[in-house]
Amino acid sequence: MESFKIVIDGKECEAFAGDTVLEVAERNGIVIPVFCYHKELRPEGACRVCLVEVEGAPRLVTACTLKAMPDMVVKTNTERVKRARAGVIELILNNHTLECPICDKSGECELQMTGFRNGPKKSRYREKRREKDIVIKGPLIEIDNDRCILCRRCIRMCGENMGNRVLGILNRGYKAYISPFNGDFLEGGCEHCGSCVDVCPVGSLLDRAFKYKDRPWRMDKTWTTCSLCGSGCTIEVDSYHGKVKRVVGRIGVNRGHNKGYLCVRGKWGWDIIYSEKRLKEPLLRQGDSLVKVDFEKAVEVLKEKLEGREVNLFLESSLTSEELTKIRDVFGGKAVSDSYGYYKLLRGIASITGALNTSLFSSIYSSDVVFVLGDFIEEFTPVIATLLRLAVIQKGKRLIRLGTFPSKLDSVSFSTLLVPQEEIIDTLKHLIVGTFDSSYQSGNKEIDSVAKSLRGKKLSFVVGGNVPFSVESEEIGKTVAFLADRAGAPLVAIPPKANSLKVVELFDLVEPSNLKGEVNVLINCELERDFPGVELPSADFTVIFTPFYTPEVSQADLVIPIELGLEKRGTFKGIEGELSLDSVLETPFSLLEVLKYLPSKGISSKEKQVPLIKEPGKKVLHRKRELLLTVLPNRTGWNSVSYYSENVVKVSGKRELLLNSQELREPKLVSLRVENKELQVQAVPDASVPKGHALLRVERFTRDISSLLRGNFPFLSGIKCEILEA
Amino acid sequence: MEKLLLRNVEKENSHTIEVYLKGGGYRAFQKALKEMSPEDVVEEVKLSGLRGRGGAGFPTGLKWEFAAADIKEPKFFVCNADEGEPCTFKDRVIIEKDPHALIEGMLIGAYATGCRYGYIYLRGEYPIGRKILERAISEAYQKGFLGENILGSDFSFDLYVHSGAGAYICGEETALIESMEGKRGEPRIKPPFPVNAGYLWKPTVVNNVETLANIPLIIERGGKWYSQIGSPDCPGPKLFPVSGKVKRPGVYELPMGTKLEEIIFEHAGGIVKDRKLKAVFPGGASSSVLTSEEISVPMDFPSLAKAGTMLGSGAIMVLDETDCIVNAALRLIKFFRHESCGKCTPCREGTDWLVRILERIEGGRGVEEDLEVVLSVCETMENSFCGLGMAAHNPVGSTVRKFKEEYLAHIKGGKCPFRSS
Amino acid sequence: MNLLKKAAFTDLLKGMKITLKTMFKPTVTVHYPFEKVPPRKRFRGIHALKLNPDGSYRCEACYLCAEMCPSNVIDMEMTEGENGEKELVDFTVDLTRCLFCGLCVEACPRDAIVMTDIYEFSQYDIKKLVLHKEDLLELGRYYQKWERERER
Repeated sequence: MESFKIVIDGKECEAFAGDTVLEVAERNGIVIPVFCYHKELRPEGACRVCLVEVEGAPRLVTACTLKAMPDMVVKTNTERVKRARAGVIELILNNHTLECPICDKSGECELQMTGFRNGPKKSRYREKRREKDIVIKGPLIEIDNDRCILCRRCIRMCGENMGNRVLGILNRGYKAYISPFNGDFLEGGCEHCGSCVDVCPVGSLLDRAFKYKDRPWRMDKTWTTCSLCGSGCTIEVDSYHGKVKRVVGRIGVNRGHNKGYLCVRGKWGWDIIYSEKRLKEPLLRQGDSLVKVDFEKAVEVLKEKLEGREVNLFLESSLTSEELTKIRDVFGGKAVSDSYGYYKLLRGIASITGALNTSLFSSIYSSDVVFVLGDFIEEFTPVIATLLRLAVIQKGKRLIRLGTFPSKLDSVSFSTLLVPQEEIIDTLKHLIVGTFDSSYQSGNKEIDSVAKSLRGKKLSFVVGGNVPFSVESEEIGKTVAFLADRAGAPLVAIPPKANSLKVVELFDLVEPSNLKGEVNVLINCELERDFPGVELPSADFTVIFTPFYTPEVSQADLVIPIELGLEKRGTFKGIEGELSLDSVLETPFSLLEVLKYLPSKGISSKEKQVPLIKEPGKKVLHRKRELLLTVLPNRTGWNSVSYYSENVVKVSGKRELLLNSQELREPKLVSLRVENKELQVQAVPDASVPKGHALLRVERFTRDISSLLRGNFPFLSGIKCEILEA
Repeated sequence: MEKLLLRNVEKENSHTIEVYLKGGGYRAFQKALKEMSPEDVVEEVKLSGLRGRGGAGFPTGLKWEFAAADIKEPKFFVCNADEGEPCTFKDRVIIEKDPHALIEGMLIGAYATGCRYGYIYLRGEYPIGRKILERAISEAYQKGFLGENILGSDFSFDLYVHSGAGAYICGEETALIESMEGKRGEPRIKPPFPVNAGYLWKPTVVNNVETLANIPLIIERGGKWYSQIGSPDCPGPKLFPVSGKVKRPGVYELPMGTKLEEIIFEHAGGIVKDRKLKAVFPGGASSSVLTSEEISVPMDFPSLAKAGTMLGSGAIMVLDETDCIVNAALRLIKFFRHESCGKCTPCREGTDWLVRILERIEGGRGVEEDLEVVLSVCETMENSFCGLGMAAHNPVGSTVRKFKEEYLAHIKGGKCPFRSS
Repeated sequence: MNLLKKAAFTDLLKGMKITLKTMFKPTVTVHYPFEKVPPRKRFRGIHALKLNPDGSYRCEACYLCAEMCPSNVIDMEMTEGENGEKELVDFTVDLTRCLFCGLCVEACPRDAIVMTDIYEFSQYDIKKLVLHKEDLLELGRYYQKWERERER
């Protein structure tokens, strides 16, 4: 890009077309105070603190909205500018509450800092302070309007960057205040991503879980990786005296690929560490009951029981790579894992590309058009959905999505192709031909127009959401990889869990029915949640490594407590390469510590080979009259947070079956039938669900859902079902 | 002189199309459509030297030229009829008495700039005006002046009335556009200007009612003729709404550059009960005050700017010797506090602070340092986001500067000297 | 000469003279454990947390005193109370490290932490030298009584 020079405070600075003066100054280490400006947000020009003097302009101008022009001469520290700045800050401070001693923001408050550096030294305000005593309490977020300086960062963050439009301004002038729609976060559709709390420069938007819990400056700040989904977000964990107080994303400061954006799980799910259901001691079965034993005894029993026996290994995929390597070493390389569906998807991709791997997520930034395949990316990996959205609104990428259900991403996508689930592979095949052949007519105008917009562009592909859980995941993988391969484009397969990629790399993943061992070993998993539809095979002995009192504990012979993601040090293999975990928390138990005492099986590692076929996949789903069921764990669901986090449970949704509003006129209780199993559930008509599909939203997997899905593991989507009158 | 803008006002049923057509209405539009190319129209308006009558005084021809040069489609032509300032009631006369002049002006403007759709953003408090405008628009549709392929040409134009919801800030063009889009009425960042990215981020021309009422005259009689009326820098007839302590308040049509003195004492009949004139706000509520010594100033954009105030909408507000200047300033700044949208800090907080200080002074609880504070707050408010905040402090700042004795009398006397109790 | 002086115990007698002189003057030292000197008005003894007239504590756990402290004496825990107000869970003052510089008192925005006139706080158990919230509030009650008396 062509660059030119502008002069700021006598310093010659390099600027590019489209840069604002503030951005240029920031790059060159010239500090201009700001309130309403935020790196990640569209400039607003509302606070008027970033005023600068431009040679030739009669008025002072705001640096955040002023585009740099060649040969511009800007001054940021003249007397006039300083006076204007101090004047504006004085106006803000006049009616600002003096609650700093109890405000949770004090210490990292931008108003404190800017006021101290640039504000007036003395108050001239003789009037009584104008109180704006409007406090809006949501389940997790609280708005204290008395502290608000109306910079509108939260509104822009919520409306533009996150696309939720929950927050807005009510009233006008000096009476204006921030409120969610109707004063209710849940009714307003808040997703509780916490981004508004993160960007608030003052203590107006509060994290209720952190409210009055600590002082920001005294906590230990640890950068680690969130282990709650496949997004692999970098988070800052703030703790004091070894106790986690909060998790923050630090939008704009965070250097992870998530740029500081978080979701409700990452932001508020940390309290699972202090859950009441946390397991504290090893338990050993004696007769009918489990009794507490000490660590040495537990290891001794474990060693004795494992010796020379084959193991049925159940593995959850948010363990660190180090743990997984050790597990493979000790228990062997055959396992059942919740990444099985993802493994199928990767195997499909590998049959074209030859490698069980995915491109880095950042490769989408170097393309022009991002082709997204999959539904509910915003539920499975919320931050990935946010990043895709930001790629459109900040980086100007074109987003094209193919799926079955409408998504929040559609509001920014260039075009969205919604087809019934059984036609996804056919549609992809049309695109394979149409993208490279301009004369091709698929018979569907929408597909043709999408093919046209893919033609000749620099492409990248993202597969995620519920695709790994679809009945067709392997075939979809083959087909989309074929398309990506022909286009020479990167293909990002978003892992559903934090370390799914490493699990796929290390273990031979098998169907649960293929397990024929004598000892069940469950590591970090919960059967109903991670393996819905799977029953524990009968075995002589069952060992569970778990951080919580899970329902399976009652079936176990030996239970050994392990640590949680935030308590671990290690690495993940995520979509952005290796991600490291760090922690300052001390735990009495450690999975690695236990495994150290167990003998190694000495399995040599070998590269997994997938036969190259180089053919698009075949259609698997054929539907006659049945409905296709998709079971969708809510945004809050599917992780341990939905079971053990008090914060997250406050905002979790409820279980309901969504049906097309033409197929169901009004809400009623129905019976959902899959093969010969039935489930009574409240059905709700929803126009967004396409015909012929049923969407079962669950806040968490329970026994009845698990038994409904029996035999379908690892699939949650594309299951044939029927609706019967209850 | 000859009535130009108010030529139809005194006729009976002047708001109907029949009366308008009888008086030579829509001739200018037909002339533009049949005989002139859009470029010619823009040239003619540029030649006339017409400057926007909404307050800022931007040359209309230039604005049209920018809009015509933009290639984005469709373009929108918006008439700003959100006349919300206290003491301003000039547009109302045109809307209620001569709506077809406005429609004709819009048609010519739309033809010149290539706009396909038009909106009249009408002040919410003008329900009668809304009825009249809607009736006039349907008449124009019936007569074929609006709709597709107007008068057999390939020019199409649809016109709608959009009623505001009672916010003064929506008179600011970008806030008006936001409001039309269904959002909160708050100004947008400029640039990009509305002529390039306005309504729905498409090129949008926003013109005042009075400006548009001038357009048929210019096209009919030529820009050259028009440029010879009134002041040479900003020619044309101008409506001056005069209110306050004058014997005959009302709207007066006079050429630009008429002396303020002349308007007050000759046309409006002088001060009631022949009291002494104390102060005049020459350009609406947001203009700086003029004392009785300064009223020989000609009423046009450059002369008033030289006198330290502005023409604005041209609304003349007259105060006599029995009026308390502090109370007048307080009343005006209270209006601005109420109407501030709350987007930018100086306007939101500054107006409130000024109101509180003035309330204290008016109540006799002021101190001398307050005047200094008032002036510095006014200086800070100069840095507001939009014109509202930049001008809102004018009535306060200028009165503090020019009527300092009166403020000091309030402070030292401990009460308002104009109140008996 | 010197020898003579030594023989006549003149030095001793000189000393005895002073002893004799002061014997009838009033004493200036005190018998410490039995007698105590009341400290001066601005004496900085061990810490206390003042209370409001209604019996609630004044401290709002802003942590400024701890931030000011040059030797990391003060630590506190806080949480949200039942009525949504800030609540102090624990306030610890580690007297083993304290310099009695009084910076914490200077820093307090609520005038909650003060220093009493107590200077006798030696203990047999070092753990007892760490004062907790309840101890400090008890000291606060004592301080307020003492303050009232002092002002009288």
